Amino acid sequence: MDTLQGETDLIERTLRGDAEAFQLLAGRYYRPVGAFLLKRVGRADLVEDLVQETFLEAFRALREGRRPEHFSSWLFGIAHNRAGRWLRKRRLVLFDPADPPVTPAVPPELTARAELEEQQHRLAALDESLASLPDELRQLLEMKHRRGLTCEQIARELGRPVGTVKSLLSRTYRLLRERLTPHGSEAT
Amino acid sequence: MKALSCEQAGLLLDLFAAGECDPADEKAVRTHLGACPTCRQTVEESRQMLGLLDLTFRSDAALARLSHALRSQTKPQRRPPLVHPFIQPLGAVAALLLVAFGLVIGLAPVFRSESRDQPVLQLALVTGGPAPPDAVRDKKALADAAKIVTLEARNKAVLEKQLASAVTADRWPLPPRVHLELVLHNPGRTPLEVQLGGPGFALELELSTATVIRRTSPKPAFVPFPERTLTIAPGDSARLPIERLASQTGNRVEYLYPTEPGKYALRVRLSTVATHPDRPSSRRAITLTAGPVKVAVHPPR
Repeated sequence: MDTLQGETDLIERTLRGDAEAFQLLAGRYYRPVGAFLLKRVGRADLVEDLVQETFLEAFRALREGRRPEHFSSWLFGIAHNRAGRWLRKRRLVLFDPADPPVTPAVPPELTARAELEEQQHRLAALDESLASLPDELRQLLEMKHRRGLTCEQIARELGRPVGTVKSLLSRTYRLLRERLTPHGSEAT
Repeated sequence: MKALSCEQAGLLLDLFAAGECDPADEKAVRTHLGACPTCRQTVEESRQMLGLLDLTFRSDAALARLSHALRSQTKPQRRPPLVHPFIQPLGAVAALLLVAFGLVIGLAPVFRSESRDQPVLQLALVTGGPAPPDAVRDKKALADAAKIVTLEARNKAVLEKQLASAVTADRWPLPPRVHLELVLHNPGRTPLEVQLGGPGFALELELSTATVIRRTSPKPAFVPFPERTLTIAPGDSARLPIERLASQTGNRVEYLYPTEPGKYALRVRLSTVATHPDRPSSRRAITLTAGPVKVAVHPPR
């Protein structure tokens, strides 16, 4: 209830043009909306731009006086439309020519609350798994995903063989993937 | 090449999804995936997991970027007055008359507000030569353009001797020539200014082998991208030759000399600053990656 009340206050402040209040809302929903878009477009390199567009559109609408009944459903609706627009327009994108991306179909209808719950569940599982990792593995993930280094660059920086870095990352990825995949799919 | 079993492929799938397999493994995994829907599903799950990791580790930076964009929306740019303050009221009256007149004669669309979208830039890495300029937009054109690049390995002992005997960086042997081009595309509806060279600019070349000798100099004889601003028209692309195997960060240049023959993958990471020229507040740092392009390194003659 406190969370909902806090959210209502933040929306009211945003309606009065308070960008900082909206920034707090964005902090709450950034990753769930990103995870939702990732599932829709299947392209991690596009997600950040689509999330930014989603929040900027939401902010503009709130400043223009739009008062959503359920903020999260409304926000996911905007994200859904952004993803749909991108998928329909076949927006100009880059790709590995040997590995063209699969373009998933736009779902017929959005169940925003279910989506929010699903993404929150996935992200909580990821956070829990990350928290349980040894510092060494978490550092590798930081270097790879925060700083965008390749395995060779990581190996050079840590003074370790590149094969060791790849092996550690591979094991970590596998562990995380298996924890995130409900059915725990395995190569057979 | 021996076909992989699912068990063998399973050990490589996550690195494959992360683009970190070496070329031989990557080829073997691709072949296996062509015939194995179960492993394809695993790769898709791995890509989702990797995307969530990117979201998680980059969320602070992304929220900072959003904060910047929000601020630019709430604080309109204050531009210095174009005319003396005393004349401004007259200017306002003139503007009102102009708007009214414009509406009458159908010029109203001129006054529509500009899109506030952030600058968007797209990048492709293609081999030089006959690749069509729209390779960045067209799958087939890009596939045709992404052919193999050949270059010659350096003899490690000879190269090290040459580097050791060179008194200054401008006497270093130049890195090998590569016929590669970056294609920068502006998908937006307004022109885009892109910074090349200088502070805030970096082009990192990453070759999938550790057998590369690297030398960095702040005063090199060869600079891939001297400092300048490139303007790309809406919907247009600019092609920039890379010419030699060299990375650049600001004005520092790193020469790359492969020393072992083999077939490798080359990727590039471009960091630059892009601006809509009519809206200085749209200035934004952008990092893009492209590739891989296959590189065949032949033995030294």
